[in-house]
Amino acid sequence: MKLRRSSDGKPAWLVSAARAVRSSDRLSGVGNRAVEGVQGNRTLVDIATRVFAFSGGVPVIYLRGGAPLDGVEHQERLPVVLVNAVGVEEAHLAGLLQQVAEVQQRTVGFRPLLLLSVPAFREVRAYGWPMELVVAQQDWDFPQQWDDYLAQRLAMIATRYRIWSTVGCGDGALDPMGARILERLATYRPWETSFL
Amino acid sequence: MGHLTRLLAYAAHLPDSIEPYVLSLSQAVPVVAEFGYRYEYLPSHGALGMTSALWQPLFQERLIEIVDRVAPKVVVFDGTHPYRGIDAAREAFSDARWVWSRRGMWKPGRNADQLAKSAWFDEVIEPGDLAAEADHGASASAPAYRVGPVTLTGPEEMVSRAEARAALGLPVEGRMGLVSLGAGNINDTAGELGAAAAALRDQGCAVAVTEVAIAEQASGGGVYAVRAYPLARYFRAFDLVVTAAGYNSFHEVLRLGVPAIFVPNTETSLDDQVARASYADQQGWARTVTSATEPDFAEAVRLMLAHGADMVAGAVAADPGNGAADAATRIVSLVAGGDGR
Repeated sequence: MKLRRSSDGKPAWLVSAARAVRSSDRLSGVGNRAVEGVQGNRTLVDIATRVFAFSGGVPVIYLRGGAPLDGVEHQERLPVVLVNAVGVEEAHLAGLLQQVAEVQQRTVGFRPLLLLSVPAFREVRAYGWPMELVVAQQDWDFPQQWDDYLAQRLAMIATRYRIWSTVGCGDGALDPMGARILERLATYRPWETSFL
Repeated sequence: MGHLTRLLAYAAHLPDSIEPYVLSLSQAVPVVAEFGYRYEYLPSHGALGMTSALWQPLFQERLIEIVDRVAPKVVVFDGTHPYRGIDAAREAFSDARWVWSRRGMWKPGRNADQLAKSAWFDEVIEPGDLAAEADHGASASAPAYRVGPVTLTGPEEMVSRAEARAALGLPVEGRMGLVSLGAGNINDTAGELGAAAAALRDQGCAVAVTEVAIAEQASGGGVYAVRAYPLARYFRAFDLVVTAAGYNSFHEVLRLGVPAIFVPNTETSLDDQVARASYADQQGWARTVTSATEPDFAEAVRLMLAHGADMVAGAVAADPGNGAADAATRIVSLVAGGDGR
């Protein structure tokens, strides 16, 4: 039997079920209460933690790992590291990207998400990494303070991308402690340990 | 970047009192800065490699943040699939007017469920299609404010052949064909790109492509890379354009009177390029072939080089004019507090 699909390729039954849950106060309420029930129950959370091996503190998330990880399996389990390159000028980006790629290829220990304030799409795309772009401070023209805007974006990114760590940049290179953290990921790999 | 081109076309016809501000999922978005507009980028789930279930909250959060900060009077979404989160943003900012710019020519039977999302918007504007008579998709009969075909470049903005060749770095003399069929190996005549280039050369026509990498790989040289946006401004440099039949390419070549051979992309999920291109062929405005590797492609090249200018004149005569101005007027009426639909 051929599976019916929606116009964007999802199984039709799944779309219908999701729509029914979303549009029903009763069903969505049940779902919310179930989640709250699990989250509020120490034993159930403990079981979920063991079953899904979350003990490493690295949530599974599908996000492009980039060309340096080509051929590496289960990239979705590698931690996502935010490389905060806000303020780094375009002229200094090439060296920074090269450094990140070199560490990533050697450690096979992380997936970078590049945060830039210059639209260097082509340069980042060459490495196959995802990137986010913020309004540059010198282009800022809103009543809100730019620092507050940046703080909000950083918080949003940390949440939505399940960021494991953030490393800063200066003078076209990773800051020294950030580079050390990434280097540690060559051997510090708690997410590979089973706690079951 | 069809959505950016249409939005830029609308923006070009807005009065100076209205400042366009662009949010796009496309990495081509910096091009709008060349028109003096500010922009922001929001990565698509495809660019991120993220599942749509995780991406949707990210999209919604970013959209709400930016609408809150920019405080637009009108939000114009161009696309055929409004993302979940637009509804939440509209609910959060109901003072703004929300417009769906929704091009037609959907493949029959596809995407009908998206039409219900018209309720998320105060107005639906449909950029017209010269091949509208061949549109048998779900949107064809759906309510919308319909305008003429929308292009960013109009005939009045085109530069002369000599200026165009100079601006693009092309030889002053000789026939030149533009091949815009996406990626491929230009030396492989078993592929679309290589076959099209070979057929043009056989007719003594030099070849231009829009990708530098493609031109560089051409054995024996003689292939020119051209880069400009909007390239349509320089179309007089070419005697013939070989292109897929997406909305923008199709209307740019026909509205601007450029002889064209369409090789419709049959792999699109929604855009019925075959219907659009076939209609142009039936009207005698252009030639349409299923593949540049087929024997009839060489004949199409001969025909269009000899008679293409006369043929495309029929499309120019059928053109009701750029619908961008009409769409912009409609948008302005919403800014002014008009009711829309």
